[in-house]
Amino acid sequence: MEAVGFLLQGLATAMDPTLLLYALLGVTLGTMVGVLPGIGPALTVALLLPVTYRLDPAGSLIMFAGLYYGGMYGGSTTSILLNTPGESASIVTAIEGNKMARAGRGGPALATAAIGSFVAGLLATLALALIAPQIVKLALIFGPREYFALMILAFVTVSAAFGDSALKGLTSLFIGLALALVGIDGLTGQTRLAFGVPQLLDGIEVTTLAVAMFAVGEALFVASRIEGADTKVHAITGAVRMTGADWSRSWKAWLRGTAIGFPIGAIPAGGADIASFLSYGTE
Amino acid sequence: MSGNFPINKERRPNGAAFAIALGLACLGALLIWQGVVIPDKGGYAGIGSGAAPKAVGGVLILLALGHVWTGVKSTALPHPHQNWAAIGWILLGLLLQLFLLKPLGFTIASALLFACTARALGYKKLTIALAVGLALAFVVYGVFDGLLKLNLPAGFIEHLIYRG
Repeated sequence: MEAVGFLLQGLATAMDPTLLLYALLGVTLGTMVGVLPGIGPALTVALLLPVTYRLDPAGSLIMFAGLYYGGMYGGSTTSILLNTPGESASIVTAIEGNKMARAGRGGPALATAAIGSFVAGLLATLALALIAPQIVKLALIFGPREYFALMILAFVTVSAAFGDSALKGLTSLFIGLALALVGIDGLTGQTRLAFGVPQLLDGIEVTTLAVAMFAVGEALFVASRIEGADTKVHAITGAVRMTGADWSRSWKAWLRGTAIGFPIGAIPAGGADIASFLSYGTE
Repeated sequence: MSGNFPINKERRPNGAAFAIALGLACLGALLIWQGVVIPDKGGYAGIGSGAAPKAVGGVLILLALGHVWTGVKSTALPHPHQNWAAIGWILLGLLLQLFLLKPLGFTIASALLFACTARALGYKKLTIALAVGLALAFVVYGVFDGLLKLNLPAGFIEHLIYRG
């Protein structure tokens, strides 16, 4: 129970009003920058690094955490309202959240994203403090085979969950794999499929691809369907609040998401994108 | 095999399936060709840098066959009406931005893209759309350049205003 003691000690430090102010500042800034499409949480933290120069270690760590969470949440806002995920982890949010916004339920979608992140974040932090030593042992056992199995699981889930036909799912999966091959091979350093174009050496970024698929694709689709100027903006109807039915449908999903995301996050290289696709598969 | 691939009743014209199959086959062939061409020392257990392109390429060609199969099995349905002019405007805007981004800078290129997209979505007044696009692009450039210290491609307007 040493961990609990340290946790409480940390909480006592964080209760300092100045540090809480830094947290508030960090979350606000992070959300504002995270809302910009194409800028994910990691980039948000990197961009706002100079803001924390003058702070002491505790203050800057707290601000970083605030920036990161704000950036994460900002990404879900653009995903829901504009169908433009800011980073790979909010692609799933865009798929379902934008549908809700179109059905006039943008408010509840934003609310469940926010409250769900909050609940899951709290639970995961608690769990991390309590069972981190055990999780680390498990994560260190993970070898190439286990990573391979995890990847296969994620891919199978993706191709099964997306669309109504397995052929379409597999086709998009393998087009994605083909695009991922562009660039320098991580194992051998061999350049693949760059055709002498220096910009292709770094590969094709997920963010670029996601914006191209979701934003440009959406624009082309909408434009191909209109006959005149009869587009309408879907206002966020209703308060940004959830009804009792929303709550009762949501809380189990939050818990499932936490249960799936937490172990994957503990594995090195197990990113939020894999976790979000996996938990989307279970819904 | 066909049981796994329910034929989409809404729109699955034969031609589209064959075009997709052709594209997939070309991509697959390209990958296999590249997998064979690049120097491959074999690596551990014979899996070198050429293995993954060859494997993905092979599966893509199999998937192309699958699309040919669905194309043959399904009946051609009438095309839904598509507004090709609108798509053309958006593509024009994207191409303009792509080629003018470096020479003219972010602001002008993005304003052109904005105006073309507005035209595609049914807004006829090009000058007003251009003006709104310019203003928006200026603000975006200002946020990226001033607040975030991220360099977007700068043209003469950006030099004039932000670094004058």
